Amino acid sequence: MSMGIDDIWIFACACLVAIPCTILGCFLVLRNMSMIGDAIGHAVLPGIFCAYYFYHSKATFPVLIGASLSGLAATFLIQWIHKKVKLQSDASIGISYTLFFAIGVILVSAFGAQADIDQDCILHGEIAQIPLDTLSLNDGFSLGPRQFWMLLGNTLLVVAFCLLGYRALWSTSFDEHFIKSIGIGVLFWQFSLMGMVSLTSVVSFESVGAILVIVFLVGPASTAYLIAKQLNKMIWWSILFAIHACFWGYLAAILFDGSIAGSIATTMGIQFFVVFFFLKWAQNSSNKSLDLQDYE
Amino acid sequence: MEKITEFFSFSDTTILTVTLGSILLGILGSVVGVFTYLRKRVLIGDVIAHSVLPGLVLGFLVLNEKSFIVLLIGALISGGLSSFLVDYITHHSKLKTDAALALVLGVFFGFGTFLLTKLQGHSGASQAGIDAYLFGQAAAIDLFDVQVIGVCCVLLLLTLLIFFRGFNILSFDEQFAYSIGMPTQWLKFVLTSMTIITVALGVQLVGVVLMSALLITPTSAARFWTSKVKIMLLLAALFGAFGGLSGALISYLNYRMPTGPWIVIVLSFLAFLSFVFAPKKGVLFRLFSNVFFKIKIQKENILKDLFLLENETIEIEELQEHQPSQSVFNRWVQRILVYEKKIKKMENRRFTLTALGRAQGSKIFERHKLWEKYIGKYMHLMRDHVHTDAEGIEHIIDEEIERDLKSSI
Repeated sequence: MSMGIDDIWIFACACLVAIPCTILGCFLVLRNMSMIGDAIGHAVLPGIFCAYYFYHSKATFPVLIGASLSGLAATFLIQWIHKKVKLQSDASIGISYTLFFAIGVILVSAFGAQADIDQDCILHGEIAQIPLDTLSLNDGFSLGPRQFWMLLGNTLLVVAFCLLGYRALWSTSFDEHFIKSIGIGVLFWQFSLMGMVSLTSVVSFESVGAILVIVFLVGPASTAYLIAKQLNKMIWWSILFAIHACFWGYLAAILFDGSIAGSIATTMGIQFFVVFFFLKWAQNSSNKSLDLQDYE
Repeated sequence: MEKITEFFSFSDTTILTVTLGSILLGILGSVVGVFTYLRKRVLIGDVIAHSVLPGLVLGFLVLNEKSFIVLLIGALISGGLSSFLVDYITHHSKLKTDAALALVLGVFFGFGTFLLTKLQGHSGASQAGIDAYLFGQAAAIDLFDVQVIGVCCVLLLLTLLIFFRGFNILSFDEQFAYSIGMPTQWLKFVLTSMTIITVALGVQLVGVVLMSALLITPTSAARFWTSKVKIMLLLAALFGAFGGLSGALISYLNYRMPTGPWIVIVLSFLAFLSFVFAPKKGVLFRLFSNVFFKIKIQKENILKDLFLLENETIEIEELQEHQPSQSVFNRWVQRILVYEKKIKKMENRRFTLTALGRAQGSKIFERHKLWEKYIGKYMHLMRDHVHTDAEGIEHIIDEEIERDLKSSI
């Protein structure tokens, strides 16, 4: 096992997938919209396929926007089915995302060969191949992997979005009705948040696949939710957890020679359960000591 | 066309097994889905479906053979574990259900893909068998699989028949079921087990990601046509079977088309048709009934106003002043009333009531008075306070309510 410059690039990219995901994930967890995040992760597939098919490249600006729109379309469909058709909300999520994903899988299996995309790619992305596709200046000076710069751009965008909209996002996460009454556009912020989740899912797709995005969104965020009592602390904790999980997950992937995205996702799960059981144990033991004091 | 007749002749045993398997799973998924739908636990099916992946791969890794039974057992274990974990997390922490669902779903799936790459690493030859479980590959279903599916289908449907009453009460009112001494925990366990078994059987057909559609979509469609559980079960089974059949047909017609996703698309299509066109609950029906109700109210208001200005004629402008609503709409309603011979058009845009219209107008006015009296008597409110209330309620009072109101006054 030897570490090289490529490993550092891959680790950096994994972190740059995890950080924006987890920042947005904190808001999803607080708003009880985690499963909508999952639905968006699945629903960007047809959009991504169209982008690959028509542009034959992965990271141009129109491609990103187009593919994100298919994620947003799923959000609108879920809202429409829930509000106008009056179907219960969980069923409307289930119907919408399976429809989008089915369309995506059909497109990929029918025309995937022409568009340089296959089913493996949907499943766990190609984070290991990131260093192969580098960006270089005209005189041949290498700037590092192309994907790295894209992920960095997305991270900065998400951070900027959250900083600018922090007050609104913070307040709409906790008391929707109050906020509506003082005239902040709840729907506007909800859909901008969904738009950012959609864009982030598209950008992350190439690295971790369509389905595992959900772990990056809610894994560290839920872990942080268990211990933090304030939103800003929750976000900091979740970023810490995300980077921590990326590190051990990547190490495990090298050690066991398995899928990097899958291994990071597993690590995030283990991390959650460690914190979960630690808190339970701590709570139990503090309860016990309290009981003893009372007794004495 | 030729291929369609060829398909329906079922001369090829492969076609027969694939079609039979798809139809059976379509039926099974939708029937089990009905109760998860009614209990508002739709997404747990989704989680179980994603979570069977590590079980499948582990079953394969440990025993190193792609036997349907081994994979089934692996799927049952990991599916069961996932649904247990979701319950455990939500009960023992402040994390909300949907975050717990998303977390368990993703982590199990991630672990599954991790194991899958291990599998691809060391035994490349047989990996195709496992790949089929990801996005579904109906062609991989053989005669033995169909037999297993058939037996499970019969057993599950029998279980459903035996526990039907219990499931029914549990789905609508868990507290009530508990209070009359039903073993709700046990019933819930049986229902969840049925879901897990169905998912484990179905992943080969439509894949782990899309399996939940088999549970959700036909059921949601059926819900729009009826409010009776028995009919809903039958309808859902019918939709599921139709979806299975069409999926098998489409993938037969074009070999590049995967069966599972097409089943999902056909089912979604059926669901959207139901959402829009179903009677009573459909979007179109509700839209029309809304418009009809508005027309009815406007008609009654016009008749009542004309009645109030009895034996006199009324000008349109005057009427509109009385009825501040869209004038185009108002004119339409007037035209309908003229057509129904309830009002007569006079010269220079004046109207007068016919005998029929007068009778109806007086009736509405009477109901208005009746309501005012009723409220005045029981709530001790002044008449001018209940006028606006009566203005609205007069359109809803029918013969029966009128009789009751009269007798109570």
